[in-house]
Order: sequence, then structure tokens, then C-alpha cells
Amino acid sequence: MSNDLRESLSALMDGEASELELRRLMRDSDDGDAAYWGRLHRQRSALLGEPTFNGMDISARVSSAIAAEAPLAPASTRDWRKPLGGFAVAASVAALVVFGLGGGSPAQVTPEVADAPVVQNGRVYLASPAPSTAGTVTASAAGVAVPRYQQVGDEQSRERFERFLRQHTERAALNSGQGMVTYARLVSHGAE
Amino acid sequence: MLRVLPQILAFTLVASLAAGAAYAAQPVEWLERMSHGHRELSYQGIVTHQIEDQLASYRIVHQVMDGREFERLTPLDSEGSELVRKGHSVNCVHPAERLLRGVSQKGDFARYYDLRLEEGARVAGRDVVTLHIEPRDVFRLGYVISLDAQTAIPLKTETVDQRDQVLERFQFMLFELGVAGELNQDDAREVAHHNVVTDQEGKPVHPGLSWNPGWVPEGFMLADTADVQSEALSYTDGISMFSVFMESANGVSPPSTAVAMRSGATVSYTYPIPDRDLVATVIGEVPLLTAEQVAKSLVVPQ
Repeated sequence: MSNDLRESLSALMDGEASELELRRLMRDSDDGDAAYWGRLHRQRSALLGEPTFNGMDISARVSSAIAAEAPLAPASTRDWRKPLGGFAVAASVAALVVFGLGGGSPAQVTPEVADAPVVQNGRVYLASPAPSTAGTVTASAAGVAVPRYQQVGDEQSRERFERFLRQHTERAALNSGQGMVTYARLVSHGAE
Repeated sequence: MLRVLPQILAFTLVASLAAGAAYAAQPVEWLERMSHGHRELSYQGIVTHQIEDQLASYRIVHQVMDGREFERLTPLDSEGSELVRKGHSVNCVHPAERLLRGVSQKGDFARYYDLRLEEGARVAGRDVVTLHIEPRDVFRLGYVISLDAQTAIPLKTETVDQRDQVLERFQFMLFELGVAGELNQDDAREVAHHNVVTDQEGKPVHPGLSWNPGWVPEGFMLADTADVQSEALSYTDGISMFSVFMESANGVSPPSTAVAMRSGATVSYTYPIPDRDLVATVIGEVPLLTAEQVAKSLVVPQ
């Protein structure tokens, strides 16, 4: 690694790198430069008293996320992608990572960027994960078409639905702010 | 200039009065009134229940006598039997009602729903205010409730999914305050009612059962618990409710895979617990996502 490159990295970090320097960095930097870049950031974080990431490297994950996306244009150069290609994306990922740090140790932080449930109105709170290993939380049910219970071929499944709906409604009628009107759900079913 | 000053003062006074009036009609206060208004007054009417293109109508009578509730629901276009609830104390406050009653002070409800008020509509010949209750996460359904402007009794309730599709609609066609005479209760099916044991209130899990959900959406708390007939837990966030039932797989020939079904706003998710002879069913007025996640989070110790 040349001193020139290191100087350019320093300048880049201070926001003072010229476009020419940036191009040269993208072309010539290697893994050693990436590590240096990481050290620079940790030093700055330590100086500013910010929580440090302590060697946690999300570049691989960012790179794989980018690699999984369909390319907008044919990729001409690949070697600079790994360390630098993620910068634009890193800002958005970093927000999640910092949010997830919360005081726990970095080793436990596993932000699930790709698995966030998709919602129409754009407001999403991530699910609080189940405390048990049995609680595999999935978002797969979103948007799945569910058959009406009358259309389900299995007689026993329909019987189960009606039985539990009755018990649920008896419990829910007192807890819905609606009163007895919700019992219509049962009687409507009984009629069919 | 001096001549204008009293006018400015008068305008300020009017403006502050108007602001006070607007405060009195906050959405959360309507929500609080709704939570108990329908129980404290006598009324009767014709109400319809609509799912997709199916419509069913009922006569409903709600009477309060000596501080006790009597209620009757009679199907008008089917052979189903009428339902009666009698002698239920008006002072019996249920968990969801308690959640809603404190809503303007605690503000928990506003963490999970956006509330919006709309005025100027009419339902069943009465002026209503329309309360839009929109979920802020993906684990709840939304509601559009038209409340009687005078009594805060819901005259029309639409349950809407995350895409604003109406799943189910209750609507009064005819609504009258006051009931003459006494309810005739013969030959009617009486509605059951369980109390939540006080020390379980507000807790997310029930200590007396061998199983518990490992996850429920934030803001849901225990509303009803197991009784001798069934192993079941019910949860409410004040407006939405779901129940979890556990049954032994012996003799019920359980499904080999998970089964999801729906009817109106109600979905069910039946989930055979892996490696155990148990079948769990989560049913309620929630998105399927919620039912599925709760079912899969169930913890059953060996």
C-alpha cells in the first residue's frame, strides 16, 4: 500500500478527496487499504466518544446484497466493489446497525435488512423477535391469499374453525367495544 | 388603532374557546366513550352484518335495568337461534375496556394506531362522527367506526385490512334509544362470560398453563384465560382480539401441515407443533401474519 493511497484515504474521510483521487482509490485499493479505512473510522469514533463497531465488518453483507441485485448496467470493473461499492448503501445499512447496537455487544447484532416485512403504507415497526428458539418469525404470510373457511375441502378443518370461532367470539364480544353485535359472526356462520 | 384592540381581544377569546371545543372532541376521547357507552344505555334496532357479498340482518335489544345488562340478538333472515345475555353487571369492566378507558392519559393506544376524526355523516338517521383507526404496524387491522354523536354507540363498524379493503361491516339500519317492556328470555341461548383473574391482568403470559406464546405483537395483553373445558388464551390491544387454543392431536386427526382460513375479518391459523402430539390454533381479527407468527412462537416445554 502506498503512502499516496493512505493520504487519499485520509482526505476522503475528511471529505476533501478530489474526484481524481477517488477514482484512483477505487482502481488501486486492496484489502489492506480497506482495513486501514476501518481503523481510521474506529480512531475517529474513539476520539469523538462514539460507540465503536469494534471490528464488525458489514462490507461483505452489503456487497452480497448488491451482488444479489440485478445490475443496472454491465459491470466493467469488479475489484473495487468490495471495499468501496457499498458506501452509498452503507449509510442506510448503518442506520439499522447503530439502531440495533443499543448497548449490547456487537457480536450479537444481526440486523435482518432483507427480512423486514413489506407493508403498503410504508410504516413498519420491526417485529420484536421471539425470545425462544421455537419462535421463528417470518413475514411470509403477508399478502398470501387465504381461502374462505367454507371453501376449505377438509370437513374437520371447517369444524375446528367453527368451534374455535364460537369460543373466541364469546371471549371477544366483551372486549371489542362493540357489544353483542359481534355475535352476528356466529349466527351468520350457523346459517350457512 | 385603539378601536381595533377590543376586536382583537374578542377574536382571541373566540379562538381560544373554539380551541377548547376542539380539544373536547379528541379522537381518543371518543374512543373512551365508545368503550362503555354501548353498555350503559338501553337501545334497540336492526343491524346488518356484511361479509363480501353476503348480508345478514338481526334485531338487537339492549336493556339496562338496575345496573345490569340484558341483551338479545335475533336473526331475521335465517333459522339460527337467538342469543341472550342477561344480568351482566354494567360495572364489570373488561380488559379491553380498561385499556381504552385510560387511553387519553396513557397514550399507549396511539403507539399502535393513528386516530383521525371525521364529522358530518349520518347512519340510521342519526348524526355520527367517524373515527378512523389505522394501524401503525403490520400486525393489526384497521377500523372505521361511525359513532352516534349523542351516545358514542358504534352505528357502523368497518374492519379494513392493511390494503384498506373492507373485510367486514356491521351497520345499524334502524336505531332507537330506549326499550319498552322487558326482554322475553325463554328458549334463548345464554352467552357465557369468564372473568380474568385479577393477578393475571396486564400480564403477557399465563403462568398456570404448560404452554405460552413466545411472541405476541406489542401492546397486546391477556384478556381471557383457560377454563376447565379448553386450553385457551385470549389477547387484546383494546380494539383487536385474538385467541390461542391448544388441543391434543389424539383423536382429532390433525392436519399434517399448517392450515389457514378466514371468514370476514376473522382468520385462523392451525399449526401442528413439531414433534409433539399437539395442535395449536390462533384465531382472531388480526392479519394472517400475526396469527402465523404467534402460532409459530408457541413454547411447549418437553
